[in-house]
Amino acid sequence: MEVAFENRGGELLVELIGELDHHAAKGIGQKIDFEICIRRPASVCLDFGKLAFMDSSGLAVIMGRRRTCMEIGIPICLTGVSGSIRKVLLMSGIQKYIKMKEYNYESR
Amino acid sequence: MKADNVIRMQVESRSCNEGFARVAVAAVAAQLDPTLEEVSEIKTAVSEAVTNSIVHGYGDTIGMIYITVKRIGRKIQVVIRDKGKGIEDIERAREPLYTTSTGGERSGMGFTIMETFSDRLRVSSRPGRGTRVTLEKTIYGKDDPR
Ligand SMILES: Nc1ncnc2c1ncn2[C@@H]1O[C@H](COP(=O)(O)OP(=O)(O)OP(=O)(O)O)[C@@H](O)[C@H]1O
Ligand SMILES: [Mg+2]
Repeated sequence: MEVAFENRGGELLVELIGELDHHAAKGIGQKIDFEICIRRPASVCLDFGKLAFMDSSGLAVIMGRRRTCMEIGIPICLTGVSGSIRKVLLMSGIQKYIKMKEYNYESR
Repeated sequence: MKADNVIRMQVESRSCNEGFARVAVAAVAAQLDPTLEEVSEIKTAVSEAVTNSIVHGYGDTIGMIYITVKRIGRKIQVVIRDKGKGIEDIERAREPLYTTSTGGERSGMGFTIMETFSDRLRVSSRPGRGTRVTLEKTIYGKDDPR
């Protein structure tokens, strides 16, 4: 899988692209944390719109980034979540800890 | 009942092989003109079982994972088997959010996902001998009148 980073007026948009399984999860968290640390955004948004697959390995990647953001005191949210990925997220109850935003299509 | 199609594969417990198991089950499901949702659900369930064999069954060692995908009418049956360390208490392992992993890399949702994304989940295991997970899902397909 790939990750693309984009600055959206202070918010760091992290686009997850491809398949996020246990294999892909290795190293992805560190890669995102690194960008957060050097870019110092006001907030972070993980974008699932281009993610074709995700299993439980993705949950730990999300919770880990939540921890990173909490440590430096910035908010984090999820966007572009649909289909079976949405079901996996809701099953885990992650929405109690991280805000899920609807896509803002105009900004894309 | 006799299967209409069978794929058997055997992969080493390396994380780079997780995708192969998903492709195999997707290929068999494709013969039933499934909805996108049906395909991604069964792929996710299979991915959970294979990841468990790699992460928990074999851990830091490399062993074989035996995967059988069968189509019987509109039903897909997938068996994922390892000869790893096995599960002491299966009932407990199947509880949502239960995990024996401590590094924060797992969240204990694998079995819950397998259960939700299939029609039937059977788990049998013997400590020190290995684990067998059987998943069944009926593919109603795009033409399903329901
Ligand atoms: N093939 C296996 N061999 C040995 N132990 C297993 C196996 N599969 C599952 N387990 C045990 O069952 C527990 C629960 O599994 P489950 O997949 O639900 O959660 P997890 O793998 O810990 O976390 P997640 O799947 O969310 O990443 C595991 O923590 C592990 O102790
Ligand atoms: Mg698991």
